[in-house]
Amino acid sequence: MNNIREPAPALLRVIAVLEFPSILIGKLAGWLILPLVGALVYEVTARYVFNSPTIWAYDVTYMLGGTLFMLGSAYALQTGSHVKADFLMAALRPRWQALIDVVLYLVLYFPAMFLFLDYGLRFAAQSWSQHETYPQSPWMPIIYPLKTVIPITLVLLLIQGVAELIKAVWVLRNDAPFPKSE
Amino acid sequence: MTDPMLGLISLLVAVVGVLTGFPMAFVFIFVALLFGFMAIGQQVFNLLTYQFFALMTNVELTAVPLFLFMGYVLEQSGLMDRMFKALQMILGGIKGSLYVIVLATATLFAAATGIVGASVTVLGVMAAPMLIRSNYDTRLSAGSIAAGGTLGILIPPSIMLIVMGPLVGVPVSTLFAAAVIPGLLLAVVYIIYTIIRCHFNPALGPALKYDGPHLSALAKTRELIVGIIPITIVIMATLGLIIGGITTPTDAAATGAFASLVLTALFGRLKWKPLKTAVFRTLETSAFIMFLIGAANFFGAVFARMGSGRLITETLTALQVSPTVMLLLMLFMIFVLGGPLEWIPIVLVVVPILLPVAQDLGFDMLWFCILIAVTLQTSWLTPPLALSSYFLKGVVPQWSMKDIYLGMVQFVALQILVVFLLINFPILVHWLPQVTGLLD
Amino acid sequence: ADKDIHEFSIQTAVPSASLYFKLLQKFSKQIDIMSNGRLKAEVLAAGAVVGPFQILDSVSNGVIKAGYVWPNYFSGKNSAYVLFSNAPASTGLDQRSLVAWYYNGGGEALYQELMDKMHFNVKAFMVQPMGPDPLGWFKEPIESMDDFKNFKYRSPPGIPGETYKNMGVASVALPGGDIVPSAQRGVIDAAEWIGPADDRNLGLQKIWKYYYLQGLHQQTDVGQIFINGDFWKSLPPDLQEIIKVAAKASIAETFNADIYDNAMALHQFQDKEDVKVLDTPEDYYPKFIAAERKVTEKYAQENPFFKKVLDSQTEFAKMVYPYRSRILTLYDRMLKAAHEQHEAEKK
Ligand code: NA
Ligand code: NA
Repeated sequence: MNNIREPAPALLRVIAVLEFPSILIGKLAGWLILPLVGALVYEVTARYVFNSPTIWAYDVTYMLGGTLFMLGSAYALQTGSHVKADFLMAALRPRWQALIDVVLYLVLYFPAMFLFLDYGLRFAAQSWSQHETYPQSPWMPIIYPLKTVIPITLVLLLIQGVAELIKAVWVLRNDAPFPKSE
Repeated sequence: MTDPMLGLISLLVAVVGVLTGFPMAFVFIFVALLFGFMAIGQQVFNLLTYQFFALMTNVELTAVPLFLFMGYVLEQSGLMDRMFKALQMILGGIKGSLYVIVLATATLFAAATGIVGASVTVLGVMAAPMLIRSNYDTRLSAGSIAAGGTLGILIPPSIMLIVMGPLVGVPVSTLFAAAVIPGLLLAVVYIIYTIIRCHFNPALGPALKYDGPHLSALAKTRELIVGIIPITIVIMATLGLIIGGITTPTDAAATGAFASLVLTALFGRLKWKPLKTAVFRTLETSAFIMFLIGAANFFGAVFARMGSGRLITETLTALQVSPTVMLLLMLFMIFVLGGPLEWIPIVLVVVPILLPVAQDLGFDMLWFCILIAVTLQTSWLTPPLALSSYFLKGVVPQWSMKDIYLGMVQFVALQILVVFLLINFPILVHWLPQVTGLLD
Repeated sequence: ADKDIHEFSIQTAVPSASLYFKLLQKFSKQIDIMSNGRLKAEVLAAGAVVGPFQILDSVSNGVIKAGYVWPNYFSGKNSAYVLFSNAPASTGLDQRSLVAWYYNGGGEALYQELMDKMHFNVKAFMVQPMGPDPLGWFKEPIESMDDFKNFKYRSPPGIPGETYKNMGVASVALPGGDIVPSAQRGVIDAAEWIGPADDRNLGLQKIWKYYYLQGLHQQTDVGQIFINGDFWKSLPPDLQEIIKVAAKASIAETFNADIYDNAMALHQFQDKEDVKVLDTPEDYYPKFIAAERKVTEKYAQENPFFKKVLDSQTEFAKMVYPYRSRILTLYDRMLKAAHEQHEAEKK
């Protein structure tokens, strides 16, 4: 009985490999919170103590903030942080939720995220070719690196999606919750 | 089938979609993509890209990760724990006292920022553990945090009123003044409600039991001072910077996060492991919040692109009914749309169409706007797109979605009560703008 | 003939109470009536489907069929875009002359060349020449540029912002919605927005009481309608002509509204809201022009197409100068003399 409900070590290794990018890049992006705090505290000090606001703080703020949450989204999928209203499904055997998940991953998630990647890539590529700057502030910084974060996010979401799909298939076959990894 | 009809059907499909138990940010993206594809083909993917990029460049919402980081640093350092023990000693016997603390803090947060994602999650991170350990009622606790957190959308500075002002042609400063009393009234009604419930059923908010070691009077006093004052100063100073008109919410959130790091260091608790945990929790939580907001914005944009908002609003306003009935119908429609939609598409698409009709009916514009604003506030609390509850669920996973929903329903009812108060007593809206000379 | 109904929405970059939104609604009504119901345009408030900075991309690839925006929002894609909404003051073009350059001085062709060069599938129309934008609102009165330098001033980004920086003014760029809260917080102590009528909607007069109408950073300012190229080509010639004519009618409507609505707002400010309307210090004009010249020269060096358009504008301004300058002097003298006569008759 126990044997059936423990995923095979090989399967766990495959999942670990698939999850590696979202965990690594996600965690690295998480540390962006420190420069974000630093930049703004510097700006506030410069503005109120020395009466000389920086030209860059406004743009650096959204760049760090935007990168942090986008690159963290696949990590959040890995940790199961994206909120679900699973109270209806929770009343049924685990298999049922897994069935829905498998279907939705195959029919909607992968095609949707793949096309999102395709359009995100073109969006970023156009910006690179225009050497685009963002005229919302006097600094007018280059914007193509930030736009490139979108396709990177989608690549991470697609890879993590494969790991999630594998886990859902395992749950579907074993009708038991997938054990949480450490 | 016409695009506007498709848009209406998409709202219903979203309701069903959420119940699949799939991560709901993706559900909203899927539903909007499916229906948007029928209307504008593959271009819907460009729209998706633009909506996420717009969110990435939103400086105001950068306050979300910053406030969260502040909360997680204080929690991980054990300073919150210490404050809780001190609170237990002071508030000992008072029933339901934590509700009052939660709602009062929520009101303060509301006066400082208009960012619901930040208030709900920070309150969830900091207060939920206390509420749980004190055996407070899950539903009433969840409702207090979720509803209290949405007060920020009404109490100035409110991003919703900043957007509404130029749409309706009322100066934002006048709207701000008009929203203060309705906002505080809501907060007071929430607080009175929890007190009354606890009075009749003490099990909902039992007296706090102090479970630490026995302390001398001197040690107790010391614990009170060291346990409560430093954190209170950090939080109050952060919110005070904003309320006092000194910095923007994003700047203050960063300053607050920095101050919590300094405070933690002063207590000798700035260690590697808790810092790492705070950073990664901040990452997880802000990623899911912002991703969900992006999905909701995209869903709203597709709805606006389909012209469904115009269809229902024009159908409604063509009805031949008395002004009072029309007012109630308009508010009811906004309330119902607030289920599957966020306030943004409602304000941007529906309000501009309602406005000339309201003007023809002779409604006072300021009063009408505030009625809309209070009604729209419920959109954060009404499923399927009840963002406030999802933010809360994300940071307090041990509370079931069902309990959170059932807790919020009580507060939605209070909200409707306040709308009726405002309909019958327009003075509640007009008084402050009049005495401050913003309304002639 | 074609009896199809062509529906589209115009995603604007302005809120619905704005004067410019109302002018667009008028445009939409006019094309509806002129086409006998075959052209239907829904005007959408800023941000309803996409935000202002995404309008060009969105119209070009058909996310939306039409948009309304100022081209300077896209100067990050090609710096020449700014010249089609805000011809620099240092070219010597005033608002009327810029429109004349566009239709009679080769501007329209240059604009299409830019759209094609950037691979945007867009047909653009000048519809709302709303310049000049005021210098704006100040916490305290200023007597000279030296006074101005003490203020943190919200200005538009791009050439205006850089020009003010060159002049030693600490300029900050903020989106419209952030101006009032930032003003209340003291993040800025002076700000420009659009014009008296729109500034009044924003509520700046409740915060600061000193108002300067004469500013050079956007002495020309033209809102435009962008239409998706494929959608445009799908329209039969009579409907295309209706849009072209309605766009020109919109220019006339805007010239009228500029004078009427702004004058009305100014009376409200002065009579009811205790606003002091003051004249801009004399040293502002030459210092601004000189500082701006340096900025535009830098752009001209970096971008040959910017130089091409800027030269075309400058040549046109030089060509019309002998005529235009005397006409403007004529009106200036006439207004003064008539005003003095009216005052004398009052006594
Ligand atoms: Na607020
Ligand atoms: Na809702």
